[in-house]
Amino acid sequence: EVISEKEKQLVIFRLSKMPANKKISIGSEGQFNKDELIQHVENEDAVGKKIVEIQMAFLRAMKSGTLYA
Amino acid sequence: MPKFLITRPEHDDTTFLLSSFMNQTITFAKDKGFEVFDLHREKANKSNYEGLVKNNPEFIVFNGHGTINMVTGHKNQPLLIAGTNDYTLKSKTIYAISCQSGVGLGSSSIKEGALSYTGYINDFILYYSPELISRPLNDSTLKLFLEPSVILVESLLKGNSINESHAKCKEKMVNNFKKMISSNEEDYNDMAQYLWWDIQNFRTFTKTEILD
Repeated sequence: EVISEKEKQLVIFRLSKMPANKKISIGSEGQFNKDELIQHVENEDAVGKKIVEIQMAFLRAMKSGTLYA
Repeated sequence: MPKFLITRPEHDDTTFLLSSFMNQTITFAKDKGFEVFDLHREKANKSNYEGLVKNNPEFIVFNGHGTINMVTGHKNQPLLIAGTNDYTLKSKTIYAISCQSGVGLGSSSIKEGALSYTGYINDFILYYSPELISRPLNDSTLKLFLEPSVILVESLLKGNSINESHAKCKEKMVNNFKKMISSNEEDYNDMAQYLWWDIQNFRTFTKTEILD
């Protein structure tokens, strides 16, 4: 799916709060630190879209009270 | 003597972290009297797997990258493929720590006679501290993501049912998630969403049901 500008900016803002000394492994896509993840979201590539998908799914579940469903 | 087969490729950060953590289950299995077949590093390939699986291990743990129909071994070479060599899973209990493989291999392995297939139906996410990459067992961040997997395997090796082992693993994941989300530490809050994602995609397929 196409990422909306609103989602993109929200995820970039949330990624900006990620500790700089941590990395996230996304399977065979690779391992990424905060700056790399922000760049991938900016580029809207496969890694960027995956991060947006995860974060938006989490936020939707939190908003609807279904985190533990 | 009961048998346990594990694949542990180690060609990038992710596979190294998985291999290091799941190494604990090898020690545990040996202590429980299991004969262990450890396909480590370059030994984690399709040819070795197909040879050793003929020893009929009761339990198989696959560590490695994956797709909906495949788990890979050393350097991402195909090792287990739905419709090709998943017949090797007949009568076995399987756990695959691998992206997405639950989607295709979950059902295909059961059709081929596997007792159960536990895995993930989307990308499996890890959060870790690169400065501790040489000592992954000291990485308290990573532990929150991988300790539940160790619990699942050790529960099975103790002789617990797949339903009970799945429940123990899920309970640990949820408890770790609650710990993260209620923490005052920023990195814990940040990593919570990724463990939540893994919990959402964790499944066990059996002949009669799909546990989530």
